[in-house]
Amino acid sequence: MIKMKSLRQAIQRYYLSIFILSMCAMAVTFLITVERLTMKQIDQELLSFTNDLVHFLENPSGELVAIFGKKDYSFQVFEKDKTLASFNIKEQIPVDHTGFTFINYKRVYATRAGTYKVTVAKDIKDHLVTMAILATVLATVIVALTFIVHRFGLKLTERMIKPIEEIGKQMDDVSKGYAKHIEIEPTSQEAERLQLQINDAIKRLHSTMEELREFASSLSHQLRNPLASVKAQIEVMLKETDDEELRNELTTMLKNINTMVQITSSLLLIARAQHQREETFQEEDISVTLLESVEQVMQRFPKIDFILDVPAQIKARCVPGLLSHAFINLIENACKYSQEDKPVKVSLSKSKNFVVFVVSNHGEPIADEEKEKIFERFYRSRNAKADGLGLGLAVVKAIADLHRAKIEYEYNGKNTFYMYIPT
Amino acid sequence: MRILVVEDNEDLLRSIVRFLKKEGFTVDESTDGDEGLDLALDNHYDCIVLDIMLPGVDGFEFVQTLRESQIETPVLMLTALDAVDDKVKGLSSGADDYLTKPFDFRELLARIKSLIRRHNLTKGEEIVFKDLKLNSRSRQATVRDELIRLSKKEFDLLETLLRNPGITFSRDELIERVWENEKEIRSNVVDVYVLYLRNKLKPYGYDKYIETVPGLGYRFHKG
Repeated sequence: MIKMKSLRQAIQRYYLSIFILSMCAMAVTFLITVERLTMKQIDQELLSFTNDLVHFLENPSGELVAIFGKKDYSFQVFEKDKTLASFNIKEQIPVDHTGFTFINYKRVYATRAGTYKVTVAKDIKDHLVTMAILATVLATVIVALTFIVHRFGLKLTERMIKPIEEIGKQMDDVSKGYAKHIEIEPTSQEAERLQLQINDAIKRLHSTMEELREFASSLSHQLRNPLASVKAQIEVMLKETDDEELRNELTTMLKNINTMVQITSSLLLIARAQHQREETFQEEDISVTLLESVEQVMQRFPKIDFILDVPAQIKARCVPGLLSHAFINLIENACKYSQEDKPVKVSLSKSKNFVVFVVSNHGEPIADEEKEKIFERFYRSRNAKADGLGLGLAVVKAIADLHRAKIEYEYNGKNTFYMYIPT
Repeated sequence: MRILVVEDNEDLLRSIVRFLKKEGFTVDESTDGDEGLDLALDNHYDCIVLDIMLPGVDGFEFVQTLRESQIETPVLMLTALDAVDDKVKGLSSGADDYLTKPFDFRELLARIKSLIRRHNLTKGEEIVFKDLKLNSRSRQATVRDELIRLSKKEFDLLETLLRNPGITFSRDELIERVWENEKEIRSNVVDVYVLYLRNKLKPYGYDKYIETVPGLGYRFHKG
């Protein structure tokens, strides 16, 4: 699976970057505009000052150039490379070009008027400082706004995402069978509608599943009566005939009927396990249930040696009629795959929250890639025995799920199945 | 030996009847609960094979009416592996037995024979040792009228030991007697059951009478 980014992060990242970018763009535009306007004004002033100067130079008898109160102004006038006049200027301002330029925090304007070269400059340090302050203020405002928007956005995203996360969590419970519908605190109309729609879908799925289960259950059930009579009829016929060939045919038929019986039994058990309600659980002596199960298997495997470690009166809430089938199937499997002359060990113990059922045998370990699959319906392992149907462990799984019991498999020199039944 | 078979699936009923007749039983049959119950009340049978789901009265009511009329005929229930299973199990923890359909005829025969044998062996008999009473018919154990809840096998084990006080039974012998047609069982199952039995008798102080004879087996030691 591709690792997806969280929606929450994506949304936050998205709106934050858009917000910051637009704020910065606005601030920069603003600064540039202010700069442009100010420079235009300064240039205007420089031009008019230059005009005054030139006018004075050309008509010395004319008015005086008013330079009082303009201490940030400076000028130099040359005539044929000789300084004719200078004001408030320390360094030589080169005038090999004409027009506007910047030199040392000064806006400089140079022009020629007849034989004169006039250079006028205005100190713009103050202006630069003002601009810098303005920029800082703007940046601070942006940061502050971003923070506020982020906090607000967090809340908004939370409102948007929370129902989705909550629905996800609850759907998990639904798919595990612990819940039949979802119930969230709807933070928006959309979330409320989503919840309604999901609950509707779950309801429909449930009823479809229920119909399917009922179908499987009643089909198995309905099949069992005719199967029972066919089986009975074959057995009577076997009893009555001495014809060897016919007997062989009948025996094969009986074997096939028995397979069908086993399939219907397993499907019925699975259907029952999925159908059963927890209210029908009873506090039961599992020790007795287990021993009775062991005895049933003993009859079928008279050659196997059983080692039992089953203390008396271990109790748990369960459906004994179903739990016994899980025990039987697991123990039967252990017998089927056991090496000859090696014992099958069955034990039951009680821990704080669980009753632990363990069955182990000496046999080939189950391959890693098969461990998950062995609990699937009709799955047949590569070294499965011929008479298996691949339903035994599926029955175990269904019954374990009903009891919220965990099943584990481990190979520790022996094939070992554990079942943890919560008490 | 006379057997009543009540089963509403006519095909199955015909086969069971035919099979049992072949085995030498006298067989009466019915496909209806009410009719079957009338037969059971009016005649003496050695065993009744009874389906649970029946038209008319169902298997449970059938047995209940029978017992209320003081008829102790052993009943073998036929069930269909569904939710009533558990109910049957509870019911059959006494003298009666049950069999899940479809079943093997060998199994059917073995169960019927076992029920009849046991019934004839223990007609209403009570074994008493001090305050401990075992009623073989109702298969209940009591101490001073207080019921000790024993499972079927626990009861059989206690009964076997108590009937033969002082006699040491090997594990194999106990398996043969208590587990009947499972003679080949190889396991420490006997030890497990003896342990269970002792546990249940302990509150009444009767556990000490079941003795372990090292290397040999177990015996009930009076005194």
